[in-house]
Amino acid sequence: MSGEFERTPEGVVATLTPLEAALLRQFVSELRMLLEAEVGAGDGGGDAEAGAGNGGAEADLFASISEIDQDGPVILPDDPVLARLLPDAYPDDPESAGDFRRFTQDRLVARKYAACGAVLAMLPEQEDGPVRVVLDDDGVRDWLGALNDVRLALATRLGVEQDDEDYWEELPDDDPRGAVHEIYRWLGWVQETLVRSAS
Amino acid sequence: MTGPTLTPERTKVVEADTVTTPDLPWVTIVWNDPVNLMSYVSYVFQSHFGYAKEKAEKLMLDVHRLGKAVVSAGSREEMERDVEAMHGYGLWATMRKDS
Repeated sequence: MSGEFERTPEGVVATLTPLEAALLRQFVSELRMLLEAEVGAGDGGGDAEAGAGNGGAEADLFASISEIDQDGPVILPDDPVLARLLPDAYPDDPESAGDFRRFTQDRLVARKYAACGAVLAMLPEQEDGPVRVVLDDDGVRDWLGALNDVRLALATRLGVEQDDEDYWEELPDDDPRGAVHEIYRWLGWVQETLVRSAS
Repeated sequence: MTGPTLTPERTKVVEADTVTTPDLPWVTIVWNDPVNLMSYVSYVFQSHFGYAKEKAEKLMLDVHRLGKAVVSAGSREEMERDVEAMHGYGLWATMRKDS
C-alpha cells in the first residue's frame, strides 16, 4: 500500500499519490472546520469568526481563546465526533467535569486545530504528482495527532465497534460507507507506519 | 484497540510494570476503544509518562484486555494534567479518587 512512513536520514518520510493526498486533505479540512466551530462555544462568547479560513487563522484563534479562557464550554458537545475528541474527565461528577472542560477544552481544541493546519500545509491543493511528506519531530507529533483525530472522527460517523471486521467485510458493495471504511483502514495503516517510524 | 497482532517482548516481570497507589489520592484511567492502535497507545504511555517500553506495553494490554487500566496516580491537579494530555493524544481517559 502507498503512504507508508519510514525513517530516513532526512526525517520521517512518506510519499502519497495525488488521490491519497486529496482524500487526506478533505478529511483533515472537515475536521478542522468542526473544531473551528467549537471555539467560543462557551458563555464567554469570543469571536469565533476571527481569522476563520485565512492564513492568519491560528494567530487569531489563539487570541480569541485567551479572551474566553475563563468562560469556556461546560457541557459535552452535541456532535458525537467532538464528544469523542473532548470527553468528560469526571464521569460521575458533572460539576467537576464542567469545571475541567471550562478550563481545558479551548486549549485542546486549539492544539488539535493547529495539528490539522500543519498537516494541510504539507498537502498542496491540485497537486498532479505524488506528494512527498518529510517530517521532523514536530511534524511527527502533528501528523500522529491529526491522523488519530481524523480516524476517531471517521469511526464515530461510521459507527465502528470493537471487533466488527466481519460486518464491514459483509457489507454490500453498493453501500457507500464501505468506501469510507476502506479509507479509515488505510489511515490506520498509515498511522501504524508513522508510530513505528517515530518509536 | 486495533492494529496488527502485537507481541510484546517477553522480558522478566518487573514490579514497576503496574501502577501502585500508596498515599496518592487520585488516579487516571484510560479506557479501551475500538479505534486507537495498540502501538499508538503504547507510544503515548511512553511519550507522556516516560514509562519504559515494557511497562507501557503492559498497561496498553491491560486497557485492551480488561477494558481499562489505571495509568497514573497523584494529586488531583496532576491527574487533570494527565487526562488533558490523554485527550490531546485522542485517548479516552477519566479520573477519580483512588479507592
